[in-house]
Amino acid sequence: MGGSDVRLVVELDILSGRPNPRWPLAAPQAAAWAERLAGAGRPIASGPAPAPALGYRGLIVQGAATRWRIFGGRVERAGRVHLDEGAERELLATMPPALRQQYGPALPRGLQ
Amino acid sequence: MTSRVTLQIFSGRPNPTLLLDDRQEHELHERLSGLKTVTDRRAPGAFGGLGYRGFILSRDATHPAGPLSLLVHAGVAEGGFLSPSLVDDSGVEAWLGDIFKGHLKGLPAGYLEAALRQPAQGFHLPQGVVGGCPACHAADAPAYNPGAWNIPAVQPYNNCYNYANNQATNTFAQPGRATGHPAAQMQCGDVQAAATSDGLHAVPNFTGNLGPGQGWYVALVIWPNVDYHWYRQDSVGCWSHKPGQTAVRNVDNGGQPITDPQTCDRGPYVNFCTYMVTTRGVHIR
Repeated sequence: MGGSDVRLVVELDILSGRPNPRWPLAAPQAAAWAERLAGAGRPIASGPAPAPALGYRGLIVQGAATRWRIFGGRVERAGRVHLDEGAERELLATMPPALRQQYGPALPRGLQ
Repeated sequence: MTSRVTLQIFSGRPNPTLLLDDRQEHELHERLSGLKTVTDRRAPGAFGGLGYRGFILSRDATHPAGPLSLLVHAGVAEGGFLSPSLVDDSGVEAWLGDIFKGHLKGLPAGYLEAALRQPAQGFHLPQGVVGGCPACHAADAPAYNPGAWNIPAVQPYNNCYNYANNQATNTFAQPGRATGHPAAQMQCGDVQAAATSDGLHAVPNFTGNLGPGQGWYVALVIWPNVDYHWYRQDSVGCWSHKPGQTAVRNVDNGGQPITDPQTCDRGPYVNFCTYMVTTRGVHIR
């Protein structure tokens, strides 16, 4: 699969009853994110950051065969966790304006 | 291309690490394959602390057995938010302690051995708070059974409404969808009406006796205009919940046992709507 074929969907893990909001990443962005989230060369973390039960719990990025969870400066995939301080904020910046208007105020202050 | 073991023990100095040899790699694989029992306990080392905090096993994706990031502490092995905690019933922690004994410098003699002899209690999500729980008056109230829900085939596909009704439909069930009357607005009245159409009914409190076949208590709360959330009262008397696709738990947003969903820490779900009664006969989808 070439880089331009990479498809990723970002999910804002924030709701309990209703399905979480999701949005696709454009193809060139997706390829770059898939490479970044693979975490090559990034420091390994001892485990994921604990998230609250209700409210914002981070982002889930779903690819064809891979799923990453990003929260608290850490990226988790299949039990492997690495540090990436900027990933969460930069992924949130790809959120469509309508979703940002609705959910932005519910994000932690440093991520709004 | 080997597994790394880090002993979590120091605060200021770097923690000691070692790489497993081929024989140890094989034994690690055997021992990890034996971990099958899901638990709602957490490894206390995941929450910090001073002194011995367990072992971290890690390896990258180039390893033939695939990547690994696992904390083993106090009888619990946990691999992260998306994986359930497992009981260390194949002795991984004690075995790693044996491996490390010959490689420790700067620790008082016997320190690690003494730490490993401590009872393996994990970070116990509070099942031991029965004395602080209110009475359960519902004969059909389900037992608190997170292990049945926190598994990959169930957890992502069922939400708070599934859990409160004790029905894993794998449809991320929505109030009123089964009857064609879903909530139009995320407000108490709308979601309560949708649940009522499914067969639940509102009650003023959770103190009335419900005999066999009469169901159990649940509670509806609202994040105004955004979402709803449900809790259920378990047979032990305290309440539990399943936030979205995440794991079932019996603590609130502040980590406290839930004696009453009206007064617990609910994060942004600031509106308490009502207690309701659900039964095994309720149809949700």
